[in-house]
Parts: sequence; C-alpha cells; structure tokens
Amino acid sequence: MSNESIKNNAVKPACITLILALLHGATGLCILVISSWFIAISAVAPIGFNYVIPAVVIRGLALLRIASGYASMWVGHHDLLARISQTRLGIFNQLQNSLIADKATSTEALATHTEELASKWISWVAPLSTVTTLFTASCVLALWFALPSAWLLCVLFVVWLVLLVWQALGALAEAQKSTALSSQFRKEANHFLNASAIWHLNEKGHVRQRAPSAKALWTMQLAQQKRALRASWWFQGVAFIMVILAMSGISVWLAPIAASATLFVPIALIIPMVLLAAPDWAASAFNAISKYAHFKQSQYAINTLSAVPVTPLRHVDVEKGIDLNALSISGRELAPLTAQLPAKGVVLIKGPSGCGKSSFLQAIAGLVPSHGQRVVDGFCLPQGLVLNWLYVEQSPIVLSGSVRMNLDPAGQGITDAAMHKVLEQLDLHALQNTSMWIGKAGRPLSGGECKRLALARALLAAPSVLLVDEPFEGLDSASQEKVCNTLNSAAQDRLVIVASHLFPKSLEITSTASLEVNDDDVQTPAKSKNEVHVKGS
Amino acid sequence: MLGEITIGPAITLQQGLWVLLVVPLLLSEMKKLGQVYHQKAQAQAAQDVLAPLFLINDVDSRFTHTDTVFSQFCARDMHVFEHDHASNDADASNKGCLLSAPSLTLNKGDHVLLSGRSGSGKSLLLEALGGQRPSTHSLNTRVAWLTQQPVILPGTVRENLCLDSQFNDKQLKEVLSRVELLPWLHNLPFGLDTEMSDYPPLSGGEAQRLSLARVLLRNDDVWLLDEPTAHLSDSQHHRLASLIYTLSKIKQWYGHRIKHFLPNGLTAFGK
Repeated sequence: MSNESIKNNAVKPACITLILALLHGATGLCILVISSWFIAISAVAPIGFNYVIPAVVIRGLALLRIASGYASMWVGHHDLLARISQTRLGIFNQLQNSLIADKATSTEALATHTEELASKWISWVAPLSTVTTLFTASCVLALWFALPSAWLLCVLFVVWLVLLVWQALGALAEAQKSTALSSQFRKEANHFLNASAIWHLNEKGHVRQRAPSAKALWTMQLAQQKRALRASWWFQGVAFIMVILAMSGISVWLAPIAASATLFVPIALIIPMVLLAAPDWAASAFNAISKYAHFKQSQYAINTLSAVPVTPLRHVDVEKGIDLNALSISGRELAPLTAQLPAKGVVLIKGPSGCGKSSFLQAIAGLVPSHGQRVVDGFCLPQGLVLNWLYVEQSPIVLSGSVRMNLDPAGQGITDAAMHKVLEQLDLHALQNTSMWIGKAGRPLSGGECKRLALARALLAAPSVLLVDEPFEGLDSASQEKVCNTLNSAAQDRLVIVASHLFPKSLEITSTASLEVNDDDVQTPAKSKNEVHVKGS
Repeated sequence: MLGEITIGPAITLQQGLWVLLVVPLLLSEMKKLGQVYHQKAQAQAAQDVLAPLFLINDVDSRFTHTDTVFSQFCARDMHVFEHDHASNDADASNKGCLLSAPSLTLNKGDHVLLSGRSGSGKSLLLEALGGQRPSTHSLNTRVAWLTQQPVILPGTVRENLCLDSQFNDKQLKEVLSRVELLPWLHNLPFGLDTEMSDYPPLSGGEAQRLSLARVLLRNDDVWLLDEPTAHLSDSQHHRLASLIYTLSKIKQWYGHRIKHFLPNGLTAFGK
C-alpha cells in the first residue's frame, strides 16, 4: 500500500468521527430550538394547531442525536486504538539501530505521549470544531431569519472566542511547565530508587524526608483544571447576562432597529433558550483547549527524541582473519590497538580495570565510533555495526518476557530443541521451561544466570564473531567450567573474543592481547603507557 | 400522555412531567458513575501491583539505633526468613525459613569471609545481619553496606563520595589514592567537581572502587561487603584486600576468588 492510500485510510475514520460528532451537536441544538418554539407556540396556539408534526420531528431528532453520539464514540475509539499502534510503531522505527542519549525518555513517558497524539481527534478536534461550527451557523441563521435579539448571540460568540484564546495561551504555558515538572520528577525518582543501596550511609534524617515529591506536579495539574473551570464560569456568567438582557426587554432599547413588537412572538423564545443553554453546548471547548495544549507538548517531546544512530553494515563472515590497524576510540585516551585475530578460536583480551577492554570490544563490533581500520580478509570495513558480530555486555539486559522471547527476541523461529540444547550446555536448568516469565514481573534471575542467558541468546543467533565481555565474573567455579566448555565448542566454528581478568584453566586460548598499564605511572596523569602485544599460542 | 401509546396504568400530567424532568438528571449521574468506575478500576489495579511492597515490614525502624557501639554479636539458633514473614506469628516460627545457623559469634576486629556455592545463602546472611531481612537475630549497630552492583549517583564525584557529610578535598583525594583511582581523577576535566551524568565515565571495576572509597570514608563499626573486588584483576584485588584488612574493624565479605584470608570465628552453618 502506498503512503497516500495509508493516509487516506487513516483519515477516513477520523472524518467519520468528526461528522458524527457534528451531527450529534447539531441535532442537540435543533432539538433545543424546536422544542422552545413548540413550548411557546403551544401556549398561544389556536384551535386546530397540528401538534403531531413538531412532536415527531423532535422525537426523530432525539433518536438521531443518541445514535450519532454513540456511533461517534465507537468510531472514535476504534480509530484511537489503530492510531496508538501506528504511532508506537513509528517511534520504534525511528529508534531502531540507534542509541538513546537521554535516559529521561523512559518508556512510560513515551507511552503517555503516544496516547496524547493518538487521541487528538476525539479529545479536542471534534469538540472544538463542533462548537465553532454550531456557533457560526446559529449566528448566521439567527441573523438571516431576523430573530429578535439575535445580536446578543453574536456578542456571546465574540466573548466565547476571546475567552477561548485566553484559555489557550494560559494552557500552553502551563502544559509546558507540567511536562518539565513531570520529567524532572521521573528523573529524580529513578535516581533516588536506584541509589537505594546507599540510603543507609546518609547521616541525618529518614529516607522518607529525602524522597522526591510530586507535589509540584499535582498542584500544576490542579491549576490547569481550575483555569478551564474559570473560563467556563465566565462564559456562563456572560450568557446569563445576555439572557436577562433579552428577556427583560432592555435589548429593545439598545437595538431599536429590531424593536417592532417582536418581543411576544413565539420565535422570540428561541434566542434566550439558546443563550441559557450555551454553557452546556459551548463550554466543552475550554477543556478541549487544555487537551490541545497537552497534545502540543507531546508532539514536541516526540519530535525532539534524540537518538544517536548506529550505521548497520551487512553480514560479514570471516575466512582468514581480522586485522586491527591502530584501532582507537574517539573520546577516550587509550593507545591504539594493533592486532591480528584468527578466523577461529578464542582470543583473550586481558588488562586491569579501566584499561578499555569493553570499549575495544565495542569498537571491534562497531557499536561505538572509532579511528583506525578493521580489515577483514584483506578488505577494509567502513564504520558501522556489523550485523552478525555479536557483543555480549558485562551487565546484560533481560527482557520482561518469557524465556523464549528472551532467547529469540527477533522472532527468527529458533526451535525449542536448539534452545534446550544451549540451556543445557550452560547449566541453566531452572530456565528449561521456555514459556516461563522472567524479568521484572517474573522470576528474578541472579547475576550469573543473567550472564549465561545473554550468552545463550548470542549463541542461538549464530554469529560469525562472538565478543564476550567478562563472562566469568560473579560465577562460581562449576558455572565457569560450563561457560568455558561452551566457549571452547563455539570457538571451533567461529572467532570468540573474550575480555576478562579471570583466566579459568579450561579455556583453550588461541592467542592473547594484553592491555597493560605500567604500574609505575599510577600516580601521574594523562599519558599512561599502554603496551599491546599479541602472543601466539 | 398524549394518549398515543398506552402501556400500563395511565399517568397524570404531574407524574409525567416529573418523570421527564428527573430522568435526564438520573442518566447524567449514571454517566458520571461510569467515569468514576473506570478510575476506581485503575486504582485497584495499581494497588494490586504495589500491595506486596507494603507487606514487607517497615525497615526504617531498624536504622534508628545508630548510637550503639559494636562489641560482640552472639547468636544461638538463628533463623533467616522470607520478606513477608510475620514476626508476631508464633506458630509460624520455622515456616519460610531460608537459612538457619546453630551458633554464630562475631567479635570486634574480626574479618570474616563467607564463601560458598552460588545460591547457598551468603547474601541472605548479610541481609539478615544488616537488618534488611526478617530474622531472629540481627546486629543493631550502624553497618556500612557495599553491594555487588556499585551505585553511582549522577552528581559530582564530590557528592558521590560525601553524600550528606562533609569531608575536605585532602581526605577525598587520600581515600581515592588508596583505592587507586587517583589517575582516573586526574583524567577528569573538572576533577572532583566533574558530573557523573546518566552514563558515568567509569568501568565496572572503577565504579566498584569508587563505592569502596565511599564506604572507607565513613567510620562505621561493621562493614558488610558483597564482592568488593569484583571486576578487578588479581594484583589490584590483592592490594585492595590488604587495604581493607589493615583497617581493623569487623567486616564480613564474600566472593568467589578470595584466597588469602582466613575466616575468623565463623562456625559451620548451612540450610
């Protein structure tokens, strides 16, 4: 489907919602007008007045009103769900293959923003356009039919516009403050809860006194509601003043053109009734404007979602070997790494803490920008993430899902047998039931189990180069054995690069690269001498 | 009322008018009830998710005794329970018991090493002694914890080390040199005032050493260290282990790689 047809399909339900909402409002106003005229004329009706036709018309309009109201809600919500999924997919596409720079854009914030964006039609477009159309139409019709006191309606229209603009300006400012406050609260709460392990080190005061409070956010939300309420009260006040002017005949003095004894005709009741009911059908616009302000904020937040893109390269298989020529990482003061890596086997990168083992692994995989060259089988790779060279992090991510979802997140259709085999190899018997839920709301995993699960995930994706960062940290000797055996068997078909400071004896190392920092220079700043050498096995 | 449709008894004008006027009011109240019902359902769902947190006993009370100095801890028949164990439930005394020890004695100046298979309950014992988990006995002095995952605040290096208290620059630099983080500090653009943002420029081992420096600054009687030398190479580990050892306070720590320290006063225990 082309983009045009997708857009048309997306816009059609929205238009239907709009039309139905307009119908709902219009029928409501019509019922008001006709019944007020009907009541007035029934009081002065001559004998033989046909009551039936107006009654039937009113009944018909009432049914139409109810039906259009429900239909509009139904179509609107159906459309809303479709839009939410579309917006969220759009955001995922935008963030694919990128690193998010700002941790404050949590998934929760994104979820509320997408809901605001998707509910635009039913929350503010429909009410605002309905009320505007009705107001304009009724003013035009009242002046056309020269109803008495029609000019009062026009005055009320102007007042409504003024109040709407005032409310809009205030709501935009307050919505901006509200989003800033809410993201600040989220950040503070995250940092506070993450630091729970050191709460006890604070000398003074209880933990609770120090906890971040959302009070400012709640007061702001209340202020927004009060503003909308105040606007609708002002509007109501002005409408009642207009009614009094109309009913008491003062308007006759003020507008002598329309003064010709038209005050006691049945149609003279229409305008006062419409004015009296104005708060009912026109005040929903003020709440809609607040929703519009929130919509603007969400749009801004989504548009300024900053993510650093990582260029994906195609699959690269290694036949003869990889040469690293003066590979260094932008932004870190480390000596460049030059090494020759074989096509199969285990290469161990060792060095003290802080010497850059993780950074070099990430540079080799292409996750971080680097200077220097990666030469594979004689040709040089451009910058970018090679899709089948997999990097397993030090603190791996466990998705909130079943074991199967964690082991096969891309949905490649990995068989259960393959999963069981790898889990068995890594001694993860507790996770053999692949439909068990793990992660946040499920079975908690220990640190060692997380690492082994991430290794299993990487192995199942059949990479041609496997880069593992500290696989042995936090494991006891039996688990370390198992991981060694797994890495050894994996190294028979592919290159496995391990960065670790633990060297279990059963790991069959083909070659070693050591990033040693000269111990004498531990006190002096800046230039630390990194010695890099690769020893053959 | 107009006589067009006759169902049921006839109604007078008053009754009819009353019904006509009241029904819309009733319907609008029912609409509001629908909205409020949704809010109630949301609140109930939130409560279901958060309820388990409120079942954990209030831990704040355990940290109120900060003035007692540690001299000796002697426990017989100690049990450690699950988080939701009700402490005043007399006949549930051994239900949900995760760890038990027939006797445990700790003296001032002890260095105690806990070693064992993964999952044999080392963190449980540390948590029980520190008062984080319901158990029959716990230490009631101030303890300083060092967790396996180091905690780095997003503030400056100074804020990370000092937290609430005041230390001058000389003390901070001295403790950083003892954990061998001085070269890292010199590499930072603003030294002690560099902000660690959401992605602090620390490797795993450096973060662990910064947390250790934080603990070293404080003058607590008991230290409970959970893998304090994780992510460090052997030589660094030896240096830091001897650093911790020379400070003569009682400490308990566990890890998988400790080779040189002998447990002191630790009697056998198991599940």
